Amino acid sequence: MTAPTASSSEPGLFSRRVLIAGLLALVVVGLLGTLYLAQRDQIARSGALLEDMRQAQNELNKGFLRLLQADALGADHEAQAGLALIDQAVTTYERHLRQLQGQDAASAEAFQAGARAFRERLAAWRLAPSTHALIELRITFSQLERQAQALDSLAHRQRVALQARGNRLFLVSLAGSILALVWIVTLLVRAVLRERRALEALTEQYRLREASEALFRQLFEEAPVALGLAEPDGRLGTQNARFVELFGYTPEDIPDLEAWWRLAYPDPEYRRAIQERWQTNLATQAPGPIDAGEYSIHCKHGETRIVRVRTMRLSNGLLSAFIDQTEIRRAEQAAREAMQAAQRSFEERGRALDMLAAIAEATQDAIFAKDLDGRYLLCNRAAGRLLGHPPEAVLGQDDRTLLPAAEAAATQAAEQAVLEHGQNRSDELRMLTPDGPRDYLVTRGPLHDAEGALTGVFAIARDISDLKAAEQSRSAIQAARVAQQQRARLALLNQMQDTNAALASVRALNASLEARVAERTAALAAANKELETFTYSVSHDLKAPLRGIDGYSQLLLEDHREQLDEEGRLFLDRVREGVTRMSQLIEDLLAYSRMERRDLYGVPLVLAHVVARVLDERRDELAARGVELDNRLGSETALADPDGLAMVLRNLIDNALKFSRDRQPPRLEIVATEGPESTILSIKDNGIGFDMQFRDRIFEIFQRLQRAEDYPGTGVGLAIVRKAMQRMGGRVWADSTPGQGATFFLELPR
Amino acid sequence: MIHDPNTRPILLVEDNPVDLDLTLRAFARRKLANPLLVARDGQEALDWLPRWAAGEPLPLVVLLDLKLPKVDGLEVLRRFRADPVAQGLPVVVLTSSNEDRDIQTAYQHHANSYIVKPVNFDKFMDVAAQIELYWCLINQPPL
Repeated sequence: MTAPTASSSEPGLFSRRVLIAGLLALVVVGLLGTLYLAQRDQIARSGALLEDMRQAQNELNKGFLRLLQADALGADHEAQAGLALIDQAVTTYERHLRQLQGQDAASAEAFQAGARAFRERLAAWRLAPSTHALIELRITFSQLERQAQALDSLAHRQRVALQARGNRLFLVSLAGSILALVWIVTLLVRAVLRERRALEALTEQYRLREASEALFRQLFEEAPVALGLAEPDGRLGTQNARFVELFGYTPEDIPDLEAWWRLAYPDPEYRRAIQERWQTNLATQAPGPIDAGEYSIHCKHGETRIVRVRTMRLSNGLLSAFIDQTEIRRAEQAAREAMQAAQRSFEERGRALDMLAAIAEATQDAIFAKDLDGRYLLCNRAAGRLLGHPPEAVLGQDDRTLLPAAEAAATQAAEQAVLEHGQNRSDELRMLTPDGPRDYLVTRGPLHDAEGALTGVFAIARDISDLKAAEQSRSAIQAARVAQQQRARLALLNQMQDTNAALASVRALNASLEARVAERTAALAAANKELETFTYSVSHDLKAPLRGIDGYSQLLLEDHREQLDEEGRLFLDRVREGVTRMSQLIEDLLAYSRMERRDLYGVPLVLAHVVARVLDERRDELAARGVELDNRLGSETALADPDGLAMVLRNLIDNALKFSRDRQPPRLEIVATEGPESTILSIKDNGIGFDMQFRDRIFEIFQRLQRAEDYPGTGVGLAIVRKAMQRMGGRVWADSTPGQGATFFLELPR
Repeated sequence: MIHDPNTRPILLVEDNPVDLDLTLRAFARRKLANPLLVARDGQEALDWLPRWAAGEPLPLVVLLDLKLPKVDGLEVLRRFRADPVAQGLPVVVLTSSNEDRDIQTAYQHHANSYIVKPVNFDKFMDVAAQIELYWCLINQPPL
């Protein structure tokens, strides 16, 4: 962008031309002037000559007159004076003759001859003055006078001619001077005009150049694409505002290409590739802009922009245009991702639909949907079975053609109610099927399309006949359990009645106890929910009489020992043992019931910590029995309630110790294995084990495989274990060979 | 008015005659100097409030069963805590229940202690001894 410079030779040339023209004009005027002056001088001289010659003629005439007088008078001096005048006049003539010779040589020669003849006659007269000589002299003089007059006229003619020539010359020189001046002025005017035009053209050119340059600069600066100029030596010229805005780099950041490459392409590998591409593009001699491709440019503020670069060869370097493609590429990427997401969602929906269809086909529940006119829109296999037709035959039909009139009317009424209330409703319904009468739980509800408009009704019918039967049998089992508890208490009472007559007051208390227990157990039998109330009451009320039995037995033994014989004391001991077992049973039952009601929270636990806590509680017992403990726990974790798990472990470890008490030494092995979703903890003993046919029964409440006197226990421990594991989302199972020990497995979620 | 701690009574709120008898016997064996007052239900316990307000000596400690006729133990505790005279009274819940729910509620009503009555008579004697030792001899009662 250099400013245009005017040619420095132009004004010099112009002035030299004017100078030359002026000098030329001066020379012409000088020459003509000189010529004219010389001519005037010659005319003047010719005038003077003519004057001299006329003077000499007068002198001649005067001299001759004096001679005549002298002759007449005889005055000598007159003759002398006349002679001098004549002589002088002849000399003058002779002198002028030289000047006239060039004009007319013949006249001059004649005058010379006349002059010589006169001088001879004069000389002759002087020698011999006679009248004859005088006449002779007079004749000669007349001749000389004629010749002088001829000379005079000749001089006169010459002067006139000269004068005429001088005039002509003057006119010519005047005209020449004017012409020369006009020419010079014309020349000058033309030169000036030409100069001026040249100057104007130059100025215009300069102005246009400036305007175009400003336009270019404005275009460059305000162009909506980023532009940068690289000079051939690798320096970076200018970048426009958009460039700085786009990349953040100012001209100070990127003085040259190297700096630009280093900043814009921080990855050395990528940078090398870019530099090679640049060299290739540079070597390309193709005319027009070069499409240099797309580049990822690292901007000053940290982000990366994708630009398409087009390069143009300019006279002073390479102009690169950076067209920002980032948003386009991002939009493309987003569009691609959205497309993929839509595709995925479509596939997922398809799979969900497939799955729903599979579920509808696989379920034992009858599922169907009808339009607002009661025609079947959908009917799964189970529904087909219920209606007694293949599902395909049902579609498009309504109940009037498929069911007996009464059932069809009832169904229609129920569906109408659902449509009117717009809510789901469930009804229990007994229906006659090919397999006899069955109970169904029918849930009906309105169907809506995507816009929320009512389109029909759906129904799901579940066969609950078996469920109802199971419910009834469950109530029976519960009643059996209550009866069993009652029997246990009766046994206790019987035991007490067996003791002693001294226990009359105790028996009185027992009567009230019995009444209350009977009352409570009746309440318990009423509903499962009341069992909870019962177990809660047990903790208060069942323990109090026990405390009485134990307390008074003890008091009897202590305060009335002497009144009792050995057998009486033994009975009292038995009473107290019974109380201990009863108390333990109550505690276990309470623990079981608590486990059923308590909230158990699954928190991540390191199993080793919980196991260590429980083992520590039994440290003395373990040591006393010389148990070989093989605890192989590491950092395995599981999700469990800390107290719930501790209770489980306490029961299992106590169990293991109890059933391996006769082993020498008893062994206890604790191992944990982490699976992908659960952790399995196993506790293995070398006790008596059990028959695998009882592997499920051992976890049921009050179920015992051993006699109480061999291995004391309430039959609640493992039930508590199973209940707790269920409440914690885990499970428990056992593996054993009789006589070889047992292994209990606890599986807990991770 | 200030009463000598050695003569201030213990209030036992207990409806069960067996427990009451055994408790009294247990304290008798400890040769407890302080008089034992008995309330046989919740209402009888609450009837003490106006008498204390009228100037009768406040008990050193109240031994409160939870399961009581008429007004249950937790309600008695709540009313004691709402009463200006009895609100600072040491109340020890002495009950058969070791239900989490009862323990939690008792402490929410500012019980000072919660003791489960053992079934075994020897242990029950121990508990009586501990209560007497702690609340009548070690603890400094409010005036």
